[in-house]
Amino acid sequence: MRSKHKRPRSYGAGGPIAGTQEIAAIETALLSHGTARDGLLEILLDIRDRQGSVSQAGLQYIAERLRLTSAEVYEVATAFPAVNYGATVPYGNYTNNCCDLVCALLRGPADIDREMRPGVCGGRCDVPDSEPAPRSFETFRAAGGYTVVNRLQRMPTEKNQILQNIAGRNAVGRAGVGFPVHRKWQSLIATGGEPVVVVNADEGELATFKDRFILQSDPHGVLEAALVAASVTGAKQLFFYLRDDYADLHAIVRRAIDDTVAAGLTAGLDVHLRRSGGAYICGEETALIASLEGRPARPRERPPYPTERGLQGRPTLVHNVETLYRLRGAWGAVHEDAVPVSALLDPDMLLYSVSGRVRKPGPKLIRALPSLDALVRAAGGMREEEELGGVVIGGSAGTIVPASRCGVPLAELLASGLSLGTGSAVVFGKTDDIRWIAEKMAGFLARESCGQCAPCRIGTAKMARALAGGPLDRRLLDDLASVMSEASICGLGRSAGKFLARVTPILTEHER
Amino acid sequence: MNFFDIDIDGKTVPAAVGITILEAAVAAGVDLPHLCACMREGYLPIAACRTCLVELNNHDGLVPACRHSVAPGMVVRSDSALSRRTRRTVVELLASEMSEPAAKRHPDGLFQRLVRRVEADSGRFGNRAVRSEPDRNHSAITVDADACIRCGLCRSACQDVQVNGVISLAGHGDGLHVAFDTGKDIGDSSCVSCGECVQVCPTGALSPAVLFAPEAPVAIEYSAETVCPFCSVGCRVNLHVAEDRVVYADGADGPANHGRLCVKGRFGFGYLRHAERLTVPLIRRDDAPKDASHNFRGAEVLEMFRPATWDEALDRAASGFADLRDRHGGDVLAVLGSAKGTNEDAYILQKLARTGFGTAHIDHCTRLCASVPPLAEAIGFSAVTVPIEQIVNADVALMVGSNPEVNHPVAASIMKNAIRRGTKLILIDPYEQPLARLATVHLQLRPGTDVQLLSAMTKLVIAEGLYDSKFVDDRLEGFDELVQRVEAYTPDVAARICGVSAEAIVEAARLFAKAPAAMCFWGMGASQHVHGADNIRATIAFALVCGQIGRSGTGLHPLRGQNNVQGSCDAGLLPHYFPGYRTLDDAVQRSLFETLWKTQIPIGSGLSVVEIMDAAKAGKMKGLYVVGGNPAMANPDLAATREAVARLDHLVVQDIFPTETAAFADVILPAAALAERSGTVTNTDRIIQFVEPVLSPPGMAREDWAIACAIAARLGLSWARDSHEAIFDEMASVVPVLNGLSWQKLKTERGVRYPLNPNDPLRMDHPIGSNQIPQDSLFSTGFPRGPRARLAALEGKCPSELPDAAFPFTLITGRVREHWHTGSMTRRSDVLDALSPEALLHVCPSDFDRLALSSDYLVTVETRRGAVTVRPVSDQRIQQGVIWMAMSFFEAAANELTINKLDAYTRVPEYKYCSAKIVVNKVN
Repeated sequence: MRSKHKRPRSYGAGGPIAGTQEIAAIETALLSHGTARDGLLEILLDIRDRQGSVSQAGLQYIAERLRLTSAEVYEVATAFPAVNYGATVPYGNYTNNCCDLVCALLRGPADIDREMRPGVCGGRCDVPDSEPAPRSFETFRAAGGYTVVNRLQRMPTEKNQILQNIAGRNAVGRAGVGFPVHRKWQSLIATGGEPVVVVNADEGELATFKDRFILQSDPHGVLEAALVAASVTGAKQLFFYLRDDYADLHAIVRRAIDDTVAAGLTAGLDVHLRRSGGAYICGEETALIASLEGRPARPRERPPYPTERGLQGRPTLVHNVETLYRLRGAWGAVHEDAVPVSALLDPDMLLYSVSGRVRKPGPKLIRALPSLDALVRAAGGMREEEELGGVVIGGSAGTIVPASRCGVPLAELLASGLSLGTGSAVVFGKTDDIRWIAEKMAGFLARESCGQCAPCRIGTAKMARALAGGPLDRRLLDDLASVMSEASICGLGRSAGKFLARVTPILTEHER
Repeated sequence: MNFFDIDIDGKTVPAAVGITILEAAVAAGVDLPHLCACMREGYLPIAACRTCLVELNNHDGLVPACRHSVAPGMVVRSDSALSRRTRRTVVELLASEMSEPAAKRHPDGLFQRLVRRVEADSGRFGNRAVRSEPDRNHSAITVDADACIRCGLCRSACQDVQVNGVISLAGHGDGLHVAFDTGKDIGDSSCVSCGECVQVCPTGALSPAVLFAPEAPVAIEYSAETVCPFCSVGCRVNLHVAEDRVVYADGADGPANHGRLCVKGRFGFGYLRHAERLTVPLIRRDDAPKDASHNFRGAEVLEMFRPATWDEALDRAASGFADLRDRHGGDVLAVLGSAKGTNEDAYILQKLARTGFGTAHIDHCTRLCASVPPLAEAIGFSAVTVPIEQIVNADVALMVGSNPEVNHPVAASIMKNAIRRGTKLILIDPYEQPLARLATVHLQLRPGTDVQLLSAMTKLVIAEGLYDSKFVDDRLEGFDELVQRVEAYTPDVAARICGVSAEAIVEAARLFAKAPAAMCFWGMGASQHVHGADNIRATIAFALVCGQIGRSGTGLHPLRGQNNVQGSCDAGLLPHYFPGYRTLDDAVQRSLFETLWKTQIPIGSGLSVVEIMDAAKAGKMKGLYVVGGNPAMANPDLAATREAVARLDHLVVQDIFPTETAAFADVILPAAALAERSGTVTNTDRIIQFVEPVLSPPGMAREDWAIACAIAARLGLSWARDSHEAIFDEMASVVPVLNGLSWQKLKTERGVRYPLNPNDPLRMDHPIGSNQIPQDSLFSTGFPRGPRARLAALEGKCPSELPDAAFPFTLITGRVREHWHTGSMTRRSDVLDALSPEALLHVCPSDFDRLALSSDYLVTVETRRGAVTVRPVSDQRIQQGVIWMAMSFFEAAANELTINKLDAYTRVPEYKYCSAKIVVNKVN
């Protein structure tokens, strides 16, 4: 035999034993989150906040307390970047607060490798001078907020009316697919059981900060819609799944929830504020649900849809922040001048996240945008001594629109297949290399792939490497694009394939 | 079920609602390409490799056949241009995950075959750089991480199928990787070496270590199936053979295991060609006296013997018995068989004893664990009422004194599957065994207090009216006495005695009684006490007053120990029953056998295993024929046992190895191992399975039944020329549960669960009922003993040797996962012995620290019977004041320490309780 027997030191756990300080941190976390598996991510994040990251022995200890195997805990700890497992520096200790693409545009590529942490950006691409103060509970109420919730509490029959209104407004999801909201709600009601409502505030798309803007301005607007959704669908549990990197928003949302609870608006409903695990994929609804269950954020194939079988097998409604916020029109909320973001109650109003080489990056509310040039102008135009090179529309798997097309009427671009996606626009200059931008986008997708399915895990990595340098093998890239878009489990890999299919001709053209 | 046809690649294929496209294809013999989908029971679709993508007539884009359900009118195309092109690119991407040298190391894996099949260019996307050499530090499994394509099958194997929870797919993105525990090397992890991951790994990233060994053969010559010899679960195993030895094993699709194996069944076949296999008959040398001072083993034993021809050895063996019989009468002879033999061995051996030796002293090692007699006492049936797999239909399972994770690992995997699907487990066990993590209630009682605990649970369900009063009225007798017996045991009283909380007792009792369907398991932790029968009676009483029998997901299941315990007992290898549990003192039954065997049979019941030794020690037993047993290692109080066997005038040992018992033999006869022979064996679930030889017996070794027949011939018995087939068919004619079975039927069907028709073969004049199929729980309307089950009175014994000042610890013995019984086979399987090479004394951390023990220094464990030197380990799962040892290590044989006290009813020794002390010697 090859192996020499290792003399056992102890039976049971084995290995090093967690220190008293770490045990104290873990026990404190367990007091807040309990010992059920679904609290696992929160527990790990609490420990990270206390001591930087959890140790190997700590994982073993948590496993015993949660009656899981250490492998199950390790799998979760390593699947989420925010847990910071095995890292030597504290999480979030980065200077740029922003993704590498935009950051690189602003600070120059040389800084990037040195300063960027791997992981999703801090969503601060706009680097705003002043941030809106959140509308308080009292002000929101004074403006008629939450009356709908009281009404639903008194008159359950109102539910049908609201459902009809939502259907009448043709409200659709704002996360990309555009599925009608009322049909999701009806599916949930039809499935029965114990429905769950989830607010998806895990905004992770590259250079996108619209949800942050909404929550920062008017958190109760989102919460009100979530309470209505819970009431209409009969949910007894509401999860507010907030991006961990939006640390400053946590206090705001916590306060907003506490205020509604204190006012008796959440009677019969358990409201939980949960943090995401610091990965783009956490915003994918099935991955989000997995992470709420204390499992790795890996998307599940549909069907079944979450509205039929979601969190712990229960019918689950997941809406993103913007979708919920816009729904308020269905029960009579209107635009208020004092609250600029309420302009979104107009279905034709769009909220763009503009960043890059513009004078005034930030969230831009624009109705009927004529062209991308106009969007650049709305952001104060190009910075000094810089000339427009083009705009990346729609985030990491978005479209690179060269300057020559930015004057084309937007309607025409949309008709020819441009998708606005989350409405993010990264403006770059004449001297910025398109291939380099494409490489950054591909790098983001490769880094954020959950790694579960072969086409996405391997395909995005191969794509990023192919774009990083060397001659472009058109046939190989076409096959890669095709396999990612045809064979991936979830939207990340599929959109990565579509991105590659779009960008390859532009780059080949560019190289010529 | 709804059936319809679908079209797969132009072929019409039948399909049923709810199955996947891939399942429909596989069932119809259509070979759709796939990789991470495993069609075996327990595997869920992973759908991550994306090689089984197909196009559908009514669906945009591709769908994974392994996950997508069939629908009427479905047209599936796996050979469309899009499907083929996508598959090829996916395979090319997957191929890039392997480093070039790793791909060369594993040219014939499932994945490499897929690469060739889809004509993929495996170098198109480059290869991963070499990162690591294969990890060869684990005795059983080699991990070649550079060959891993991260398909996730090993994770499913470990988490979903065997539910050992060691392997995960950790990390994310390109950092996704197969990890053990918290990222440890496999050798440092909690891996239990079941090898399920090895069996399903499509690339060779996880493979049997032996394939990487320098002495590994170039090619497997053939593969063939047998039944695993190591426990009563009865797993079918596929042995891969080259150069006349088993190279490695895979789980075969047997009725009990569905392709699963445990560490012993997968890595434990090295013993078949161990250098110490007996290959020639041996006769004791005249200059080698029998020395009872200590245990001899292996080569030491062989030195005391000289080779002989079969004729000389058989003559010597037979004439020794004949002389003693003729001089003193058959009563001085005894036969000890083994539950490791086949049904035919068992039957022929008891027939030889009863007709040739003229003795009733016939028993076998089942005696050492017997957990069925109290069940037979209650219902008149000597087998489980319900198979293990029914646990999936149980809402609650109660397990008393059994550690299946270690002793029946494949059964444990089926139990864990059920627990994952919602079955709640109530565990009654002093040890915090692996299943404790999954238990809803674990009653970690003080050793030896089972009766009190179960009495309190019984009292509670009666007091709260949770018991099944109709069942009690219609189908039980002895209820009033039971009510009286449990009267004193309130939860608080039991809590004080048993050391568990009253709340937990109440919770467990209510959970079980209120369950629509609850099953009950027990094992050696219940039976190996002087009050073992009482433990089991109390368990049965609790289950029966709750009416938990006779419906799907209900019933009583004593987990048997060895691979053919059930069959050996059925065949009558017992001192108090004829074959088929026919009563000895019934004139009708006696005449049945006297007519059949054309001879007189000794009257009265015989002595049991331990009693035979006691008689030998007293000089009353003079001749003993041991077939496959090893009392000099297995019996309690080995010093006394050695003295007993050394005193025998004539001892014939028939085995595959020179065992500790063989050291005292006059003649040693070399036998064939199970994998080298044909025959039938019966598992704990009443499945009787047919085996055929995979290898030839080494040298001159012969099958046990044939040797027994040869001895019978020398004793002048007429049936000595019976064929294998004739033996089985004769047995089936007198053993009621085998009614309707024949050698030919078993040969054709390979495995059959008996009774074929529950109402017929038991020959009852009243119906006992079943749900039509014998797989279901028996006894829906009656019992073999009559319409009512009997709640037997208890004998009320306490442990025979309580701890005191001189011997302050309670010693409990058991087994480790890697070794089986006396270790004669598993200690000679190199992989198993490397995984678990020495005896360990398990001590709870507080005692360990108080005595300042260290695993660097050996200690002596002493009882009033003997002492052994052993390495102590701290074990947080054990109770204070309790120490635990495995029985399988001859170097520190736990049975030197155990006490020779028997349960009066089952005659099982008290292996699970005696007092002991630890002497610290500070010797390395």
